[in-house]
Amino acid sequence: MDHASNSWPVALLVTLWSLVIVATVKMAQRGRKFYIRRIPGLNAIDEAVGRATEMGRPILMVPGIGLIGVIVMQALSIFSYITKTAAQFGNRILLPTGGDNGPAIYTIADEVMRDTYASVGRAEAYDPDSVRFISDRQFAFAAGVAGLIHREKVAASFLFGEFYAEALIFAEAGQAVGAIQIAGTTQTTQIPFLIASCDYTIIGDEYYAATAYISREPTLLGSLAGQDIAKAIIWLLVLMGTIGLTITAMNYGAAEATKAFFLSRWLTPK
Amino acid sequence: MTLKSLLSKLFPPLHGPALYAALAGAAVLCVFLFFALHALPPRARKVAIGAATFLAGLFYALEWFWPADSAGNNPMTFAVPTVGNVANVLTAFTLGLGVMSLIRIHGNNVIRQRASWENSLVLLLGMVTMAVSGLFFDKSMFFRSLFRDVLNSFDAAMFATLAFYIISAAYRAFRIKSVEATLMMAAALIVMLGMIPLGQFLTSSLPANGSFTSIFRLDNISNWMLTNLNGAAQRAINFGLGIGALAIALRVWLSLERGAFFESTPE
Repeated sequence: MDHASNSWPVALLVTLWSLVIVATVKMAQRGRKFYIRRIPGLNAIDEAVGRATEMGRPILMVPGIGLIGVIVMQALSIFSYITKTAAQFGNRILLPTGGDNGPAIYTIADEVMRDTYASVGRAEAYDPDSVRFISDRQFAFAAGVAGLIHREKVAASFLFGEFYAEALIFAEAGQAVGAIQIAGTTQTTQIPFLIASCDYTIIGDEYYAATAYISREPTLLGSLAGQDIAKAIIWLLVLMGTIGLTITAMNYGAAEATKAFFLSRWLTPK
Repeated sequence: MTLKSLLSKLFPPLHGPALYAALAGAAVLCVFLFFALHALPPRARKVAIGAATFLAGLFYALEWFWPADSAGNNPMTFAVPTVGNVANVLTAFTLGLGVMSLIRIHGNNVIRQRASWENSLVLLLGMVTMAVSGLFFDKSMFFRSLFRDVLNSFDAAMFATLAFYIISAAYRAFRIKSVEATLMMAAALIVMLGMIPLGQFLTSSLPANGSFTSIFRLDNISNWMLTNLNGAAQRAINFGLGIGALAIALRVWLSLERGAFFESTPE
């Protein structure tokens, strides 16, 4: 079992980052304004919903096949915003769930979507069939969603969450029907596929910045500022490590260090 | 007295009728808690959910920060599987709701004879056949054949379609229409050439290592791009993701977000 006592430096860093994030959240809640840079993929959400409205075709939202946790919660939070806009325009939404936690995600997503429709005063417009569980098996889920995309000819497709091999199946099915596609995943192995197939891809921690960007809620903006400070701490540590290692290498002589730099270390297979 | 021995005394292992009575008692308690939670006013419900979330998070935080002995255990480690099981049980409860969703949507398709209702009928029949054979005839050849020959083959077929999707996605990505696309195309070409025998043959006359000219071997350049450029970028992305996950976990654990998680307006 992994514990802090196995690696005290990590424990100290986690504590430091946590304190920084909580402090910036509290500062934001007390009225401190924080700047947030432009994220094109998130700006395109309204454009995609608008396009679906014009075409009179549904909007697809897939929360991935990950376990219940922060990634799924973040995906549902983004979908809640999209649904709010879609409900105002009377767009149809489709939210299929799958994977080992698919049934659990289905129950949470159903509640979230119901609440979202109610929050814009359109509770009666919510279609219980719009959120549906498809399968707990990865490729059965992929086949189900791909079929749904083709049958319903979705106009906009939002892929946010934890995706694996099925990501490309969803994205290419969306391409085939001409849907505008916006994707964001925490799985770095799937990012190249989504970049190749989707119109906009949200990379890395932009995924966690999405709700702050969309809602401009002070708590979320404060948290985002805290994340940036935590990343700056990592950046400084990396810089210190690089300088330290370089000085160590230089102690062995400039010629040896250069040789190690260009040949043994970088380009020569171990 | 340790926490483990105290809990063992309070909840000793049960067998026979006592075990069934305890299970029934737990089920009744769950039903009572379910209705009690529903009966609470929204504000009190949020406090109850916030308290439960905080306690669950506190358990894992304390378990991680508490110094461990030489065997890697601390006084709370023994309870980790049990707490994990609680989460699994809660998740398992929702499986029935997922199945109900399937039956409702596809049952309606069949009853109202909507477009492609035949597919829905096949799905429902397949689900019933698989469930009945798995529950009551799991040792039979019929179930094994359904699972191994039918279900696994369908999975493999779906996975195989990825090969075609990768080609069509790569075709679009590699069309040279911007500086970024050109760089991506060049990088992909070098990595692909470095991986295939024909590409390796092109620069095979250069020494594999130990010489300055070895850096121009395609397999060496490909390996360097994968481990240094790509590896460094992936690590940077993972740092950001880790910090983002920590931030959202802290907000949920400490109930820092005003109102419910999905409410944008503060109470």
